[in-house]
Formats: sequence, C-alpha cells, structure tokens
Amino acid sequence: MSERDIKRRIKSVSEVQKITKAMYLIASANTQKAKERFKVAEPYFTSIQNTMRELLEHTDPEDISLVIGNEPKRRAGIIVITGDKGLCGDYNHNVIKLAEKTMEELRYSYLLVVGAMGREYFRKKGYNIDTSLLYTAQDPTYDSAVDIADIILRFYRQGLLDEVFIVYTRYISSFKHEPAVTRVLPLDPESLGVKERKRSSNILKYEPSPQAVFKILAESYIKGVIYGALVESFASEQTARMTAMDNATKNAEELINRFNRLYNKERQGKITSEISEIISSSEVLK
Amino acid sequence: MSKFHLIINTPTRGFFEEDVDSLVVKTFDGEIGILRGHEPIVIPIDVSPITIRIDGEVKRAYLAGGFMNVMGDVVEIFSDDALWPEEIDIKRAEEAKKRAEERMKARKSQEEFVRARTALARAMARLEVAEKGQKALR
Repeated sequence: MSERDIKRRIKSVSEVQKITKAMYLIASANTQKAKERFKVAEPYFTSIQNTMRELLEHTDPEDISLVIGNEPKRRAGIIVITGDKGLCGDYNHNVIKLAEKTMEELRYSYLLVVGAMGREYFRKKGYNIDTSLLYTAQDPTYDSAVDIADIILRFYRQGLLDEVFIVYTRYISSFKHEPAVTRVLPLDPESLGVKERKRSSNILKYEPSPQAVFKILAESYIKGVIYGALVESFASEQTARMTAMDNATKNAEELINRFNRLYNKERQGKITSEISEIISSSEVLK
Repeated sequence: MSKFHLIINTPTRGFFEEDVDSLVVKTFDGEIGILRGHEPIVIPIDVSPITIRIDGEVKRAYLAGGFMNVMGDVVEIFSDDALWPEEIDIKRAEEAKKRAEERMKARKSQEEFVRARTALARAMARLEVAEKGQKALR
C-alpha cells in the first residue's frame, strides 16, 4: 500500500468510528430512559400483583376463566419482541432463536411480532404473522401494551387461543440479558405467589363480586406483563447496542493505530531511501 | 378531621401520595366517598373525575378508570392514566369528544360502539376536570 492509500484508509476508519461513538452515546441515553420507565412502572404492577394474590387466596376462583384450567392445550399464541435495527450484537439472533424453539415445541397458531427485525425474519421464513399491529420496539409506550393485550384477550375469550406466551429479552444487568419465555395466559396462581387457599377467611370485601373484580384486575395485570416485557426488551436491546458499539469503537481505534504505524514505517522507509540515494550520489561526485 | 394515606399510581408515574381527609370516586354503581376507617374493600373505578380534600383544600383530577384498594388507613388507587386539571389539553379533549360522537353515530359494530363510548366517557371526564379545575383557580 502506498502512503496515500494508507491515509485514505485511516480517514475512512476514523469516520466509521465517529458513527459508532455516536451510536454508543444514543444507546446509553436510551438505556437510561428505559431503566427510568421500568422503575416508575414497578410499584404499580407490584401492587396489582399483590391485590390479585390476596383475592386468589381468599376467594374461590373456580369460575374465573382466565386462571389456568387443566384442559388439553391446543392452540397457542406467541408474542415475540425483537429490535427494529441490527448493530446490537446477538440480541435479535438470540430472541428469534428462542422464539423458533418455542414455536416448535408448541403447536402455535398465532404469531404477533413487535420490532422490524423479527417481522422481516419471520416473513422471509414464510410464517403467518399478524400484520394488523405494526409496533416498533423503539420507545415502548403503555398504550401499545394495552392494544396488544386487547387483541390477545379477545382471541382468548373467543376461544381462538388456549394459551398465550411472550418471548422477550430479560434485562438482568447492564452486561447481562437473556431471552426468556413467559406465559401470559392463562394466569398461573403459583407464579403470583399464591400458596394455599384459605377460603373462609374473607376479610376484604370485593364489590360488586370477587369474580368481577378479578376480571378487571387480571386485564390490568396482563397489560402490565406485556408492558414490562416491552420495556425490558428495549432496555436489553439498548445495552446490547452499547456493548456492540463500544467494541466497534475500540476495534476502530486499534485499526487506526495499526495503520498509523504502517504509515510511519512507510514514510520513514521513503526518507531513509532518499537519504541513502543522496549520500550515494554525493559519494560518486567525490 | 383525621386523615388517611392515599396513594395513586399509574404505570408511567407515581401520581399522588399524601395524607388526605376524604376522597370521592365514581364506581360502576355510583359515587363512593372514603373517610378514615372505611371498611376494607377492593372496587373497580369508572373513568371519572375524582375529588380529594386535604385540610379544606379541594383537589380534582381525572382518572382513566382502574382500581381502588382500601386497607385500613391506606388507600391505593391504580389507574391506567391520571391527570391534574392543568395537564389536560382541552382542545384535544374536545376533538376526541367530537370524534367519539361521530364514531358512535356511524354504528359500525357492537365492539366499535363500545370503544367509541369509552372514548367519549374519557373525553367528557377530562373536560369536566379541566373546567372545574380552571374555575377553582380563578
């Protein structure tokens, strides 16, 4: 490579580096935002969960259709949450892989995908996906969670779906996140922390009836589960992108250093050869 | 008057947390007032304005439905959304009201009708809170 070629390479690499650096900063700002949202939403859902647990412990939920029954499972609905963009390491890959595995295990009949990457992937593979909702994974709002919950609850009530699962990425820490599957419907009393039923000790009064209260409560809870999954996935995606972009920036740095050394060597070599030429020609003149 | 602790939470923010004298909310069977020492009860709340009284001061807010959980001296409300009068965009609420009315007239399907009706209830509750709140400021 000539001196000029090397210079050009250095320039292009440093331009890429500028972009990765900017993306890193954007991702870290978004992570902050997602974490904030998660923190705000948490007390709300914890109290809904507690109220539900109390209700299930103290009353008889036999005619509550949203709670698990032991009927044979036939049709499962799956919600998959992916990112809208790539450049975030193996984030999309992992969650899609888990979704495919889940789909193989269950006889799924309904697929709802949030995020452009997943939608593109499943469409290419020829899966039938619900396109009536085209939500982006960017900036998860509570309203979009409500819309998704409305759809699956409607299908569930109409008997089109017997189970609903959500495949998302669980946020563990800034460096760790992993894909996970959670069942949204029917609700599992055990996962709510219900241990035993004490039917008689009914201290709380439920108006108009425990069943009516439970129905509305359960809907809020399901919305909450979906919202939580959206926010957690978003946070995971952003941290994944942060790590990926940080690595890219470091790699670019290394590349620039290597090219710089190469450039200096080349330049030094040229100077040396020029000097030796001058010396040898002056030798001749003597 | 003796007070009780009121907490109002939404998924997007902690809306309110203070000791209050009384609280009036609308349930599906009519309005219900809460004072200290109310019997423990869990009850759904309709989309409606709520009224809170603290030391003679009256506070109004809009609540997008939800739940009330009365447990001794602590009352918890969880709602999808809650707004103070000054946070309500009157113009938007009026537009939403008009839209909902038109959609109700169109009578497409049962489901569409129910949806329009809830949208209308939300818009009207927002307007009511906004108007009352502004009067109180004057």
